[in-house]
Amino acid sequence: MSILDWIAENLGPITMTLPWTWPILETLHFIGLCMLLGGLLVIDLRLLGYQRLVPTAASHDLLPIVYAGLIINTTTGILFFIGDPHRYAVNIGFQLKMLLYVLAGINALWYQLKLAPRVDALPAGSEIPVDARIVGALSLAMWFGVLIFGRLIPFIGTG
Amino acid sequence: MAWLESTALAEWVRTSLVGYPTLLTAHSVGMAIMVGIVSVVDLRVAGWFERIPYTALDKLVRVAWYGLAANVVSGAAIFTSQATSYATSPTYLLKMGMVLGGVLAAAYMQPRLRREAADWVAGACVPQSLKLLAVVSLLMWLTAIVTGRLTAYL
Repeated sequence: MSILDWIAENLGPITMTLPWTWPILETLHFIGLCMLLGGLLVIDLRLLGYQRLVPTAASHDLLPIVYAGLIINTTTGILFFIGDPHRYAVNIGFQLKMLLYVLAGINALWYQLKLAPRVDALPAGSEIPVDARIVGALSLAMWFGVLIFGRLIPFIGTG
Repeated sequence: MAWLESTALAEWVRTSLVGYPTLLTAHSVGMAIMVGIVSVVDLRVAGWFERIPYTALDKLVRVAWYGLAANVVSGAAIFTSQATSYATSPTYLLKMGMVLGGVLAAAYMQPRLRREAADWVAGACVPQSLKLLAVVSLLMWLTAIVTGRLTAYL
């Protein structure tokens, strides 16, 4: 029995037993993505030089909302996957989504550990250094990419 | 409604391989932008995230309107493809009511933010009525998301 078979058989029922579980998970997934992207739009637009009235340090106050959205979506995402692992595993949209998810996570970690302390210390209204701007642009591009490929899962590739 | 469903646009949305997926994708991107940003604005007006200056908010709402524009266009196109079905769905009608309410709230708040934010930064109180509107707006968008998702199921 493959790992996917094992997951489908032993964990799948968590998601698939009750008919209303899936729509509820989808709804939570949509709410989570608005939290994740809403917070990141304010933070990353600031990094890109827009919305200069928002101090970068103040924008970081939104990070708990971003993380909450990420946790909600990772949890609901795992529950989707275990419900139908064979379908997701072979789907190119899902694979690309997961690739971008990992890359976006690395980008976010890099920002938190290396760049945020430096950016926070800048006086209000400062120019944002190029590396922070690149990280901000990548962040938006990749997380919107996660959203786009996720939305395309039913339509592209096999499964 | 039947006329809308018979248009070339409706036919294209129903039959094209790229039409519906593209419109749905645009719709979710627009949702993330509109609801994502308005949620931050509403939470700030309601009193959270105190370090974000009130004076920044009306320009943030400006960004949100791009999301709404994408959703009005994509939403209208999707609507034509099954106009009768959507128009008679209570879930869908509730969604549209919530969207309309959220849009009206944002349109009302934006000029007030522009005019009064500097006073609030200087120490004046944000009117209770505006805080209440911000909370109601947040709940309306939340309901719009829920009913939007459930339209396919109910």
